[in-house]
Amino acid sequence: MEEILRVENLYLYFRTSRGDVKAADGVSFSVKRGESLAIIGESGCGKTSLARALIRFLPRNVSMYKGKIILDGIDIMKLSDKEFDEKIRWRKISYVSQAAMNSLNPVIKIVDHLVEPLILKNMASKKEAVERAREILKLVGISEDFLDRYPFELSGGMRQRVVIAISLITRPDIVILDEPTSALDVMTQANIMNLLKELKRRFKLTYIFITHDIGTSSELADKVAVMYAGKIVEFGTAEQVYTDPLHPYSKALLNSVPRLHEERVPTFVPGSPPSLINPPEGCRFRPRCPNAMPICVKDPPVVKIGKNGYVKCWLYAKK
Amino acid sequence: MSARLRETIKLLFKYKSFVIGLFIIMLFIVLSAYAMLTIPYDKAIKMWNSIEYWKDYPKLAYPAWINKFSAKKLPEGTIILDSRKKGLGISKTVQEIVFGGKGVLININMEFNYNYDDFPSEVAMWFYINTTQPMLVKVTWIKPDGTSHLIYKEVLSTYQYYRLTGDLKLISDFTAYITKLLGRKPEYQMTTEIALFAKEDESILSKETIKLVKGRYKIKIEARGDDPNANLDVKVDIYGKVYGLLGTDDKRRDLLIGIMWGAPLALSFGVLASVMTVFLQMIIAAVGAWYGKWVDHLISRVNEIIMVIPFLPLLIMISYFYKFSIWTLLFVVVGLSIFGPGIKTYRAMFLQVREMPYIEAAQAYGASNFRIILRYMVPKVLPTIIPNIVLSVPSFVFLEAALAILGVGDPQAITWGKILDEAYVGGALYWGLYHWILAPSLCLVLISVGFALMGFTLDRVFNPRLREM
Repeated sequence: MEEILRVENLYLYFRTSRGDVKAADGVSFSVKRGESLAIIGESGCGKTSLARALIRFLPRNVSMYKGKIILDGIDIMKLSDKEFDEKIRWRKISYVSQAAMNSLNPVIKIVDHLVEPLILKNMASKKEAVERAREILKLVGISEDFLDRYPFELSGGMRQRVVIAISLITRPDIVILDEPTSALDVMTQANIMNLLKELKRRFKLTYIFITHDIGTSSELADKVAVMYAGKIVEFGTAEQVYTDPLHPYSKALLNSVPRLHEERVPTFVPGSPPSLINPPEGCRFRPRCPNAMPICVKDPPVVKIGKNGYVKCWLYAKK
Repeated sequence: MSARLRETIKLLFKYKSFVIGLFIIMLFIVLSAYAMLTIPYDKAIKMWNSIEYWKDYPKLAYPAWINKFSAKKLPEGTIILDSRKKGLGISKTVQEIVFGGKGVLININMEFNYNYDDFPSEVAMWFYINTTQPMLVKVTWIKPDGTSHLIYKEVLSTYQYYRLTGDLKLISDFTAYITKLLGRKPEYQMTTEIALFAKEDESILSKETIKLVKGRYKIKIEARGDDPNANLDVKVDIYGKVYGLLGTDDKRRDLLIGIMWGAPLALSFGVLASVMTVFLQMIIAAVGAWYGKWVDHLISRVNEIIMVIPFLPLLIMISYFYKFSIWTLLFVVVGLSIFGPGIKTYRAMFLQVREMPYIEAAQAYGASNFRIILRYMVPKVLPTIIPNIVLSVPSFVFLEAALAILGVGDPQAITWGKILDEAYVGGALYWGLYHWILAPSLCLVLISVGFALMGFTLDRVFNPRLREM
């Protein structure tokens, strides 16, 4: 399978009065077409910022935004904002934001939400767009009667489906899902996950989804990136990361998930993620790490695992 | 949409206040439509400001319906006797005569019934002569009881207007005549109307006992001239004391026409000013809130500066430099009202809306700033703003009236404020001409009540915090 997206040394800093927030600090990973990448980690470690950096949806106080994002062999970081808007946004990469359920305008009908990206991108006439909206709505499992309804008339799960439909209407290659199931009940979560799987199979979609729900992510993910304090500390196939996590943080994170068939009390990671303004030197997990060593004050090396995976930890450095 | 709209309207109609408000506004709309259909605007303005048009209307007349509430019947309208229009009781003969040369003798006889209980308000005559040669004109006034008076004797060679009312010579002649007839002087200052219409016996000596002679009056006009082709026509107006539905003002204008034409102007001025002001405020507030940074600072500071400048003195100053029509006034008023507390309120609303997740989502699909403001931000606050629009209509209608009273405004337009201003200048309250003040005031109050009732109900239905379920 060909590689569709490769990110190399992506930096995204925000300027605040107390200093720069290093939301993404030299992030690298790659995804193949049709694969799904789960980005997991605690709250406040830069997952959402990374996703927004990918689709260039940035707040106004960005102080540094650099690196390489290679999409289909083209470095999209080199495109101007206008070119990016015209060629990449929604055409190639679409985005379902956090709190997607609330991301519908309460005074606009569902159909108008659905056609909005098509019309903004001049991809279809109004009539064709409405036709497309009808199809896509059926595809995500909502009756076309809902086209003329308003968002408040839909349940949370349906709204989530509509938002997913909006992200798919332009037939993008990559969909970035920012916590797609976070505000839903367990049944609806399962429904949405099944829908995402089904869509992925049908359209060969590539998902990048951000979650702190490790359980649901394991269902969909082919690859996993574990993020901590603005950096990816471990990246690898889902199988490897879930069954044999290497980085102490990945281990701790996975141990905090309760398992159904295991007699084990879930553990937690003491402390909280460091401030991204002034992170600790060297390995950022050092202050919370059970395996901390004196050498951890230095930047940990990137240790290759398997074909594409890596882990950033002194534990695996070749002596 | 249509289903929701229908539901909203149904809900609105459940409120009695809305129905009453709507009824009042509809009444004014019907009145406006009627005014505009029957008399076009430019014609109305010309008519309203012309002296010629109103010359046959009684001055400062009360509404005609007050006759229904009093035993004393006041003369209604104007009795117009015109020798050019041959009517009942009017006859005219033209004779060629020879008296040491050629000449003409014209006799005009006019008769009219006068059965009211009060004296007329005024009597006036017009003499239309088609020659420049002198003509001797004599007018004799004959009361139903047979007494006759020569009230006019003059050599005329051109058009002449003769206002009998206030003719001091006529009054003093008549007073002298009465004094001689009855041996006593009347105890009060006589008027022309008394001279022409009162019974000439003891009763005329005191103001309390004067009796009016009812019946058929005759006016005899005799004219001699040297020019055989000369012609004379006479018009006599006997003005009453009540007229029409709303009476007349000091320029003899029918107030009903003024009130009728005031309605469309008040409605359009109020609605346009309020819609324009609120929408512009909303857009400016949205732009400020959305772009933030220096744009927001600029808008907020400019707003605060303009808020400090007093509105009315500034407007009056502008009006001294530029004379404006009512539509220019509209733009000036809108321009000056845009900045104010409204922008602050809407800005606060938009700052909240700006942070809504769906705005973020729209940004993610790459909607432009303009699109986000117009399609995502404005519609969100629109429901809470619609009642504001309706509620601020009366304030603009009142503002226009207040400006008219202050002399700022269109001197030609027919507005309720203008009528009030004229009533004030004309001393309507001093003379007890309450109808002159009450008609426009009532209209102003009614239109405000109508919009207020509607606005409060709309607020209840549209404002989620007030909604009752």
